[in-house]
Amino acid sequence: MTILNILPSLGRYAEFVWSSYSLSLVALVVLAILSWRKKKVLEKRLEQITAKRSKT
Amino acid sequence: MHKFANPVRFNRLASALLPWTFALTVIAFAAGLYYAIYVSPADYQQGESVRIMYVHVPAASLSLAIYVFMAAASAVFIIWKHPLAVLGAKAAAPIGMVYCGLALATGSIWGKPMWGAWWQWDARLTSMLVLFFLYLGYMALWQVMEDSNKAAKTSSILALVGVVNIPIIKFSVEWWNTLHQPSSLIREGGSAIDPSMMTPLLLMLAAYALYFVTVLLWRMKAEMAEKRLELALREKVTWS
Repeated sequence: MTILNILPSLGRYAEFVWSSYSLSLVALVVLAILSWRKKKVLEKRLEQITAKRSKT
Repeated sequence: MHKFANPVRFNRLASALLPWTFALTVIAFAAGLYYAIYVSPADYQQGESVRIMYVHVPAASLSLAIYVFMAAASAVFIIWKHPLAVLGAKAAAPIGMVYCGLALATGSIWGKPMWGAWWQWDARLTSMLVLFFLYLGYMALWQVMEDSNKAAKTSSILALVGVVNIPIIKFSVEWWNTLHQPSSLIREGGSAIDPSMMTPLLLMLAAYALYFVTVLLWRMKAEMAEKRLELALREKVTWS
């Protein structure tokens, strides 16, 4: 069962609708991943610096 | 409001809220997409292309709301010097920019089969493009200015000046003879949308709003960590 069998048939508007949905979902997923990663990286660096300072 | 000016308190609140907002975002998107793709009917004039409405309208509406949020946060920063307000505006900008970009792109994709053109210099489309440039300009100010205090003040002024574009976008379809259809959600006399289309539209609006809250909290935590890192590194330089 391919993904194309799960999705409904949208006739002549299919390419317009699916490209809109794909573009939206990809953009939102990429933004979410980049935002979450930025938070993780900065929090980890802050933890390392804080740990170093408490040791010295 | 001043209770949450304390970054530690805000960070704790954000950490408590994030699992819930993330879960609700996923649920709202799942339900909204299901209703938008499988349940809602085709339009009698636009056919199946009307399904683009369920990604286009939430992106457009939220991009306006986010800019108003940025302007309000900027005003709070300028008037009360609330330290987290400007970080909130800075964190919201990329999300608003992506939403605005998606509204323009999906609108263009929808316009091709409906209007026969990818783009028209119509009042609504042009003012949305101006909003997209305002978002870009706001983010660029933070990037180019080395002094973060100067960047905060300058970008806040831009956000406040640019907010005049929001009512222009909203009322453009009434003030001018536009290609873009008039308001059908929030209008005099009530909404013009059938319940079978209103349900997926409201679900997707909720999904986009919850997504904004989730990503905003992530970005604000990142901004606060970055600020603390800056201070820690500055102290290290002072001491060494």
